[in-house]
Amino acid sequence: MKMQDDNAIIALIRAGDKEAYRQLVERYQQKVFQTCMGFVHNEADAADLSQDVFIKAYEKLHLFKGASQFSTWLYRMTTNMAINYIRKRKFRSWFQRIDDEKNEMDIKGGEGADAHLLRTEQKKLLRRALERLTTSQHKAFVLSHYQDLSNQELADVMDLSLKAAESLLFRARARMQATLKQMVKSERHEM
Amino acid sequence: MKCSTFERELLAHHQGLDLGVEARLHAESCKHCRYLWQSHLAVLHRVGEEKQVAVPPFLSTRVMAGLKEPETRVQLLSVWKQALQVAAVLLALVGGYSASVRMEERSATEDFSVVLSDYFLMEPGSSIEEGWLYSETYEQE
Repeated sequence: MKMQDDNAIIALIRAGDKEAYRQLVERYQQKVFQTCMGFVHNEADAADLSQDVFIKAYEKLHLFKGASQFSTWLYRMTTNMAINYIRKRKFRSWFQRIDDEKNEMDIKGGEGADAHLLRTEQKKLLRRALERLTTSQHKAFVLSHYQDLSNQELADVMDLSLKAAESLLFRARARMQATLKQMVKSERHEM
Repeated sequence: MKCSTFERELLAHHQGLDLGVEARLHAESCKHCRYLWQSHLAVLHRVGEEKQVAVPPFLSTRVMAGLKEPETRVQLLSVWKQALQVAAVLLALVGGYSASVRMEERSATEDFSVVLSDYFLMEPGSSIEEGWLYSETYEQE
């Protein structure tokens, strides 16, 4: 089947062909899911969040004017919804982390203890480093590292100039490095 | 190489794998920078792993099942619109009624103030009853 242009599919949906939306979902589901993983770090939550994103995108499709690409609009919605999701989840984050660790143990039960420990440590490091970022730095990091967007695409999604997007990404990396440095220092003091 | 130079180089090569020879030699001799480099690589490794997770099967089916009919949304919108209209009419009625009650209260206060002004503006040395006795209305009766 010939791949249809996003705008052509949107026109079909607007004309009443609801089933045409499946093509858009299948086209962007991996990218949206990856972005959600960058915020929630948990497959089940990322799947639920991705579902919510696509449903909301369908409901708000009348607001998409075509000034930017559909993907840009969708990724912007994804990052905003993901930020809202983790804000709401923050108050129960402690319990969630325990659940995650339990899930991890269940799923990766076959791997060795050392490998499991390493994975858990890596996850903890990543989470702590990301937690210290500002909202826009977090968005920039996820879009760049999880979705492999170019700096120009990042600028489009975040509605920034190219220079501002580059600067934001640099500051995000610098802050992450500073957090890691602090963690390394404190661990060495503990040792 | 100084630790600060190593950190700058690590930041510039954010993938952490393509560090220069000098930086690598520094990391071998400096425990702190080696740990920093390792934790940097660990974070990127974890990002890579999370990125590799495939989207669960049937996500598109779940999404399609969760979509609401646009007509339903339009109907819901019109229901909301009607409810708002009714609420606006009710608000206007309640507002009008309370305004009329207020007006009545205000006019009652005005009557009382007329009596008071009669009392205070009468001839000095006379009582209000005298004013009433010698008023034209009394004589006519």
